[in-house]
Amino acid sequence: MKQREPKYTLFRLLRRTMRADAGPTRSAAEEGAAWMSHERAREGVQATSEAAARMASTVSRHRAMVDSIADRTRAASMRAKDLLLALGRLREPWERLGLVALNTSLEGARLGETAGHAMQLVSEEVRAHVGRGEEGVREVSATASDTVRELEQLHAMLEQTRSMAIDLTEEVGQVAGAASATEQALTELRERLQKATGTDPETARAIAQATEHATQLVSALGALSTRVPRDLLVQSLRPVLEPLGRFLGDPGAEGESSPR
Amino acid sequence: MNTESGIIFRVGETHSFLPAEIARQILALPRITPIPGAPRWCVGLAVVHGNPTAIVSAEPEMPLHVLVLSMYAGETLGLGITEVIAAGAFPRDQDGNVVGPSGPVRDFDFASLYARVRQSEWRAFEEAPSTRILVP
Repeated sequence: MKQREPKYTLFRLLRRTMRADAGPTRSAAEEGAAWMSHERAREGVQATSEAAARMASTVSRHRAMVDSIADRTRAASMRAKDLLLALGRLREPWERLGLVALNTSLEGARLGETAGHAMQLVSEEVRAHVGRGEEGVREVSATASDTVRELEQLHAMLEQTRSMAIDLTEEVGQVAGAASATEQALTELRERLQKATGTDPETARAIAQATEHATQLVSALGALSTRVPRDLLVQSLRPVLEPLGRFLGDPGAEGESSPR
Repeated sequence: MNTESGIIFRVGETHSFLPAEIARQILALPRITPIPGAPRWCVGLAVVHGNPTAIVSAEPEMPLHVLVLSMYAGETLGLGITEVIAAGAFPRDQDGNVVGPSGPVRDFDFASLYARVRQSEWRAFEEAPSTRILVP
């Protein structure tokens, strides 16, 4: 029986691999691509889930802040209303003082020009002060009324903001729920993919990489064999390629004794 | 120059002069209790210095904020007005009008108002439901 020549066996094996592995290589590549898509989907869902949690936390802080501002606005509105009431009470003494001045003036006129002149002067002076005092109270009251009105508008706007924050909280909760459901679906998908392919993401990635390297190696050897004499090529590459040959085995070597 | 003591006041937009012989005192308008069936010029009753006093007004539909305690024909009446413009001694022009801070003002016709209040019909019982005493 003629002994098999190792240098040709190796090339046969590589050629056969190139020819026969077109199907399985594509399958391994597709599996690798599927696993990579799965990984990207998983990372995306995880990022979405984390972002939803951060958003929920931010919205919660936002709601607390809006509540606090609404409480302070309500308190400020109450104080402004108290101020208005106090100003209303302040208006009455001014009005009474004005009436006293008018009565003084009337009495002074009744007493006559000589006897009542001093009373008339005092009355005029008091009425002038009363007029300024009433004007001041009116201005402060108008400002306080504007403040009350603006605070009430601000409070209404804060209520709207609070309502929107509640809606936002619900929506963020829905996003978090959807992300969780997707994560669960991806876990199921991973298990089914593992069952269907017998691989896992790490193995699939390694196989894809090895396939790519092997393809490149075969291409390089093919290109090299057109320029370098085959004997010289086999001799120089044998130390490197023999372990690969042993690793791959040579199931189709029986019956073949010469290179093509 | 001939002057006259009294007050110049307004009810709504109508300015008038009331002499000091009638206008005795100027007060804030007290709480007034309406009198059912009274003439429209009789606004109601109020307690002034502890005494029940009839409050009258020439234009009761106008806003009333001030009470002029008045003495007329030996009776004390409260005249409801909107605002006192001025009090003191005022000159009269050749037409007989008092000249106030914002120009000539006609005398308030207190006599006419007093007559209207006195002569009007009081309809206190006209619209009251009829009562019947049932004897068993």
